[in-house]
Amino acid sequence: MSTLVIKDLKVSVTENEQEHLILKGVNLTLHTGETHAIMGPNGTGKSTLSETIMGNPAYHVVSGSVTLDGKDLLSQTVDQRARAGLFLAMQYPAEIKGVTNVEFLRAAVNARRDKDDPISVTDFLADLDHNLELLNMTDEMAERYLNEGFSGGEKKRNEILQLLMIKPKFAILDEIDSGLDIDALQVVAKGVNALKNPDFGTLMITHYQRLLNYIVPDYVHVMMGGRIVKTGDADLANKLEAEGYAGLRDELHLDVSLTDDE
Amino acid sequence: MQTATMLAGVQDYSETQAEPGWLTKLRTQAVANYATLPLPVFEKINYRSWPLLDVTAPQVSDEPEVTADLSARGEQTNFYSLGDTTVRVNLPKAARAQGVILCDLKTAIREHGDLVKANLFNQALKADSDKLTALNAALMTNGFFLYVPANVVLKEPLEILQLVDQRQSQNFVQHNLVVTEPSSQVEIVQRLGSVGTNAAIVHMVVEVVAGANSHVSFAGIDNLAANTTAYLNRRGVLSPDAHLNWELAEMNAGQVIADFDTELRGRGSEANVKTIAVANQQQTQGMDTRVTNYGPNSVANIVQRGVILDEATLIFNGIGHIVHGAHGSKADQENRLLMLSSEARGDANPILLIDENDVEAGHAASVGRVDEQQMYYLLSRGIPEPVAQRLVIRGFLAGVVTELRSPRLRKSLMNLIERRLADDNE
Repeated sequence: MSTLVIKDLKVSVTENEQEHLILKGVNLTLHTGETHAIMGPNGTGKSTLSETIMGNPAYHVVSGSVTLDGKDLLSQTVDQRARAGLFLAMQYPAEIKGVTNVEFLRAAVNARRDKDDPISVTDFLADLDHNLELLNMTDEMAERYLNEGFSGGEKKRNEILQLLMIKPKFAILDEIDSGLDIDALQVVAKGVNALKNPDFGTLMITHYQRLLNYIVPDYVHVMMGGRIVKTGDADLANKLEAEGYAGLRDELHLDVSLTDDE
Repeated sequence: MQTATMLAGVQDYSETQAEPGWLTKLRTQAVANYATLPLPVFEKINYRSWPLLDVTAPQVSDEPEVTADLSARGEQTNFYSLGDTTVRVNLPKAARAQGVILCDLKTAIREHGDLVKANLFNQALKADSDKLTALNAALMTNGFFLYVPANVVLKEPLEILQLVDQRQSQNFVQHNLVVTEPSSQVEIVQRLGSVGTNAAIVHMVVEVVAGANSHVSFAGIDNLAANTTAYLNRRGVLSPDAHLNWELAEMNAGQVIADFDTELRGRGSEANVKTIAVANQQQTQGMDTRVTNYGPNSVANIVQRGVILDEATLIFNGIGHIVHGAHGSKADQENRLLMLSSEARGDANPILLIDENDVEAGHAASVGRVDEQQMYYLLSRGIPEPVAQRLVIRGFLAGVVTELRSPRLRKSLMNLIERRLADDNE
C-alpha cells in the first residue's frame, strides 16, 4: 500500500505581476485502494491543488509538504513525480502534431522501465488493444497525432487510455467529466473503475455530483476558499447537490465569497 | 585563384574532356564573369568570411575507393555518385523505353548535347547572375541529368544519391539538370551527403526546367558533414500550368548558404516550397527562398520551419515577389523558427514585393521557444526531459513533415531529424 500525504499546503500564483494565495493550508491523506472526490465551487483552488501535486511550474508552493510514502515530492521534477507513481488526467490536454498516440504511449510506458528493457511490441499492443476496446476507442485513434483534432470527449477518453496504459499508484482526475455527455461519461467511468485495486488510488476533482454516480467515492471532500472545509462519505455529495455550496458555507459559518454568488 | 590560372585550368579541363565548343565558350566567359561579378547578397546572411572561393581548377579525379559499405549505400538508388565519379545509374526499363534519360552530366554533354545546350544555364539560371553562379559554370565537373519526354508519367520516385568524397581533399562543384517536357510527371529524391571528415568546399546547383503542365516533385535532403562549407542553389522555372513541389531538408552539420529560387513564368503555374532545417553546435545555415510570380494566376507557397540548438545560427528569408502583369496571382509564406538555447541565433524574414494590384499575398513569421504546455504534458507522463523536448520539436517540424507526399520520405526524414537532435545531447 502507498500513501500520498498533503500537509498544510499553501500555494500562490502570479496574476498581473502580483502573487495571489490560492491554497491556504490544505491537508489530505490518500491511500491506495481508496477513491476520493474533491468538490467545490469555481475558483476555489481545486485545479491548483492537482497542478501543484503534479508540479506545474505556474504554481508556487509557499509552504507545506506533499509526500509519497514518506518521500518528498515537491523537490522532484514533473517527470520524476510521474515515474514515482503520480498521474494527472488534465482538463486541457496539449495537442502535439507529428507524434502519434501510440509512439507517445510507448515512450511513457518505457520511461518507467529500465533503459535496456523496453516493453515488447507484442505485450504493448496486447495491452493497448485491450484498453482501446474497454474505452470504445478505435485503432485509428491510436494512430492519430496526440490529441490533434480530437473532440473534447475524445481528449478525455485519451487521458483515461493513458491512465490505463501507465498504471500509476495515484491518479488525479481533474474535471474528467466536464463537457462529456452521459454515454461518454459512462465509458470514462468504466475505464477508471477497471483500475480499481488495492494498489491504485484515485482523487477526482469535479463540480458535479453526477460523476460520483458512476465512480463511487469512499470519501468526499468539500473545498472552499482554498481549504478543505468538510469531509464525508458519498452522501455528502448528495447533500451538496440538494443544498448547494452556499448552504454548506452558511452552515459552517465560513467567510468565503462564491464566484457564482449574485 | 588567379583569373589566368583559373582560365588555363578550365580550358585544359574542357579539352581533356573533349567538351563541345559551346561549353568551352560558356566556361571561358564564366571565368571572366567570376573575376568581375559580386557575390550575391542575402538579407541578414553574412558569409563573406567563409572559404567558399577557395577552390582549385577542375581536375580529372582518380577513381575513388568504393568500399562494400559505400556500395551498399547506393543499392536502392537510380543514380549514385561519389565525388566526381558516377558509381551507378539504374533507370527502370519501362522508363527507358519511354525515352526518359537519366545519366551523369558528362555523358549528357556527350550524348544529348542539344538538350543540355538548350537548358544548361539557359532557362532557370544564368551563369552570369553572380560570382557563385559564374564559379559553378566555370568549374562544374559532374552532376546528374534527367530528361522526361512529353506525356510520360513516372510513378516511382527516382532516387539520387550524391556523396562528397571527404576522405581526401577535392573540389565538389556540380551541376544537376532536370528537364520535363509538357504534361510529364516525375518525382525526384536527391540526397546529398559526405564520406570522410576532411574539409570540403561544396558548390551544388540544381536547375529544374518544367515544361507546360508538367508536374515535378523534387525532394532535396542535404546532409553534409561538419567540415564542409557549402553553397547550394536550386532553381526552377515553370511554363504555363506547370507544378513544382520542392521539399527541402537542410540537415547539414557545416556552414551552408542556400539559394532556392523559383520562377513562375507561365500562366497558372504553381510552386510549393517546404523547407526544414536543423542547426546545431557552431554552424550557420542561411536559407534564401524566393518565388517570383511572373505569369497571371500563378500560385506560390513557401513554408519553412527550423530548429536552432547550441550556438548555431539559422536564417530563413522568405521572398514572395509578384511582378507587374501577374494578375490574379497568389503568394503566401510562413517562416517559423524554434530556439532551443539562449546562445542560438535565428532570423525569420518574410519579404513581400508586390507590383500588381489584383493579387493575394500573405505572410507569417515567428521565432519562439519550446511550447511549455506541451513540455509539461509530456513530462507529466513520466517522459524524461530530453525525450520530451525531442517530441515537442518533432511536433513543431511536423507542420512541414506531415505534409510531405511520400510516407517513406517522411519516415527517413524523421529519423534524420532525430539523429541530428540526439547528436546534440551527447
